[in-house]
Amino acid sequence: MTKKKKLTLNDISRNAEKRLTEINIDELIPLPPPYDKSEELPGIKPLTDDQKTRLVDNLDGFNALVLLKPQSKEEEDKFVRQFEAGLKKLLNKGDNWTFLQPLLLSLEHCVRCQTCSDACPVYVASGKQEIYRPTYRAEIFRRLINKFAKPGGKWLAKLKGADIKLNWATISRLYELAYRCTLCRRCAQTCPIGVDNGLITRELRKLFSQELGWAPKELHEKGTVLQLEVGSPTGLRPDVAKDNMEFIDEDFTESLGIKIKTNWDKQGADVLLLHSAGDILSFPESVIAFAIICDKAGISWTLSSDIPGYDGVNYGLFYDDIQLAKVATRHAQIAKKLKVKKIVMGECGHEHKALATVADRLLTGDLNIPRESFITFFEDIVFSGKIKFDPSKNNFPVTLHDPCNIVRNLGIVEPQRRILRYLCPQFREMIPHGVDNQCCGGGGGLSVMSDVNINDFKALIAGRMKLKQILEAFSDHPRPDVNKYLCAPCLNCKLQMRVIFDYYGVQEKSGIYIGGLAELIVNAMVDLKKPFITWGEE
Amino acid sequence: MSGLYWPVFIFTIVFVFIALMVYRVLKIIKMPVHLRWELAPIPHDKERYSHGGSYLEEHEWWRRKQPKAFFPIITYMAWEIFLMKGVWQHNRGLWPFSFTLHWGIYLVILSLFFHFINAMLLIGSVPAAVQDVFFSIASVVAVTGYCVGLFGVVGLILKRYLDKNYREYSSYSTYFKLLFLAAIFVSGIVAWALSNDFANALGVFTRDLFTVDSGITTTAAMGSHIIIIFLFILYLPFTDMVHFITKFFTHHSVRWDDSPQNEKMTAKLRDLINQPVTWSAPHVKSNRGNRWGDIVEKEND
Amino acid sequence: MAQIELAGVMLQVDEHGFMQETGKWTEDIARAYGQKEGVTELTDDHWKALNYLRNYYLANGICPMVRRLVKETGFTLKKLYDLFPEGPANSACKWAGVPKATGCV
Repeated sequence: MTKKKKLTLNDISRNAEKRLTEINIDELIPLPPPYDKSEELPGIKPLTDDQKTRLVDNLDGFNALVLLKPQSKEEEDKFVRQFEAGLKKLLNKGDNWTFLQPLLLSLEHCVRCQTCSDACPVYVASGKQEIYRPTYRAEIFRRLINKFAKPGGKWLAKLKGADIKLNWATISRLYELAYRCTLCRRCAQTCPIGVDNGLITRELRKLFSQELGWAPKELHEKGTVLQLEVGSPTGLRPDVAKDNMEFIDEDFTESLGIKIKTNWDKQGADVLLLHSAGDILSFPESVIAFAIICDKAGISWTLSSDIPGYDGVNYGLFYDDIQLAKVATRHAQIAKKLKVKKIVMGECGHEHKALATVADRLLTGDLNIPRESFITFFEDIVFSGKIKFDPSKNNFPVTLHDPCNIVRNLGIVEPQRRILRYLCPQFREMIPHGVDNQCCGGGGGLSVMSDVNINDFKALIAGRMKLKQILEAFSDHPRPDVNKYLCAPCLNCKLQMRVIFDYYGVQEKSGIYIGGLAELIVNAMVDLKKPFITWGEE
Repeated sequence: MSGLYWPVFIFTIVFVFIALMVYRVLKIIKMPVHLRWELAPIPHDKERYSHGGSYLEEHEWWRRKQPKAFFPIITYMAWEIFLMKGVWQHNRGLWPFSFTLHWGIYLVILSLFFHFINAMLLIGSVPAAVQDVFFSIASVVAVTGYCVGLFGVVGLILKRYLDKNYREYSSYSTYFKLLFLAAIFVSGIVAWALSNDFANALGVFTRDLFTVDSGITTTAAMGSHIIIIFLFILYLPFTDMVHFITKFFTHHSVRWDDSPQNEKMTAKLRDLINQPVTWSAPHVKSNRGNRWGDIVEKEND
Repeated sequence: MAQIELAGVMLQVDEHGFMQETGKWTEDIARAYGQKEGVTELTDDHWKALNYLRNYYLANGICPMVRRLVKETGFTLKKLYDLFPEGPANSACKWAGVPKATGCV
């Protein structure tokens, strides 16, 4: 293997046709056995010859965005000019009031001390590939803003020795590179000055989306746009959502022997439960567990069948302020129409961050309806004495994943632990955990992105630190003979972990199963005669 | 340089420095309210800070006013400012240099303060014995600052140049800034070495400065040191070193800003969403001037 | 948009080979998809699952949830993986000519 040439910042604008770096699986940080033999893994799916002729492939060999090669130099130049215009708009009060202050604070005060680098799960897992260093992308973006969006920027860039070329190579690579970060914000936590490279990455994505109309298909066209139109990025229509819930209600009523009935559009209910539609489709046991807990606790609750009131996701959080505001406003309008006392946000991390905090300053007047996390909602119920529990029913190893958007971003850390310490005798923490957790690798929208071969990046690199942590937490029972429960109370985290688990065969090789928090609560209920957690059995 | 050039030079720079810093701070303060983007742990949440928790850990948190503690914020900042805690925890290889550079600067600033006190003592004709004690303190503080700071800044220059993790991210301006700081420390050491009554001379100089004495004068070495310090002060507001003050905003206005919307904010927000938007992507439908709020609402009709 | 030729028809597909114009689907296309994944003959069991999937999609605009597919066809998940090498979402949906599921599923 030849030694790689050290990547420079200016390389971003050179040789638009060539990849900036090549990823070699053997350079990644090692995993514990039996996952330590790279030759036994699926590897990185190469682009097909057809894809190579059509798609821009100049970053790292992964492809998330399916960016088509421009037909002419004129087309390239047009995009470059649009990008330059977008840089200016990011610094404009009218266009970017939403994040102008945080953006400028982060752009103007970095001293390049690199204290953040080792906090990044992507950078560290990759064996410290320069391209994934949190400051690599941020510094390029900073130099571009300084050069093109500030007065005297061009000659100052030369004077300061921080000149950088803006051309097709630069923007096409930055676009793809903006989606190699999970916006987990571990880097921001370590910055002594308070600079936030996660925020900078999101601003970069926003520029592409709001100015050039470039965004991952899964987040935009089949994401927020579909959600506002049909009701859910999954394509789930209101009538189909209701039909599916009816089916699940019956199915679980039959298998559990207790009556389960979902409430729809109940005016004046105390609680509007805002799940992710993906939970209905892929993890229906989670949605059912919520219904059981609420019913047993005597809560007046409802789901909404309004568009998009049965899907709490808000992908706008990952890439676009306007889309973020549209979806959040719709959610609040639905709650207002139903006259509920509060919205309880389901097991979805980014829904929490979008609705609880980020949108708090978008929802004015009577749209600012109280919004609570399912975690504190459950804690109140579990310790209220309304439901009887037998923790011995959960006597299997359990560990907890902390979704970045709920824990690091909102500071909800202890309530879920109080529940698990009470209900799960074999609960153990990962290291590190709480606000210092490792991201699942699917943050920032990566979890729902699956085009070309980006899942290989998610499994091999972005989720690598997480996988390592999970395996270490269960190192006392490494084999599949003991069923182990990975509690990941966030749909995007669960889906990302499914990608990792499928890639490495974790369920088969290690006997680890992925689920949420609600299922553990229901599984410990004395009233339930049959086990609720079935370890993959029908 | 002698006579009235000195007070003109120094007071002009101090005035310009203050004006520039006020301008930079006002620019930050006057920026629009932004969307919340807080990051745990937040020290003002006194009871929950130890595990990184926030008021959102409370069932129906909106039912009571959430107090904000003041003391933990001070402690947090003190650890950061005086011990460089973040760098110690996450970047230990840099800490010896970063720590010493910062302390070098703190001590030089402290020594300026002592020179001012000494000037007052001289004006007040305080007994020589007392003055001598203060001159000694000023000398020790200043020279310690120069030495410690020089160690730090040379370390940083070498690290930036030799360590591949830093080299690519260091531009001319980075080295210029560090060399400028080095010049302060070196010129200070030279001025001290060439003078047998270093602090006394600076005390007298400071006295003459504040009394605007046209007889004000100093040696070439001392004069160079003073000029370098004040040119640096003039340069500082144009650099990322303003973080000594903007750090307050990165923390209080962003990272720790978890204030729920209040009435005052609502009024500001209503103005903000009434602004025209010029984003060009088709889905924004800005038409180069439609209002933010209308764009968001329209989709929902 | 990528294109592939299956059963003599030129098809618009996504990067994973899922058809984008579901109306162009024929049973021969399903067979051709099966061939590509090493399933040389489609049995009645295959057709039972494929027809259910396709009809569900046409009526509801979305693929059925796996739980539903299992219940309606009477096949276990394991059986579905035996029939369709990459599983119901990645093989069966593709062979049935419906678009790949996206958005948190």
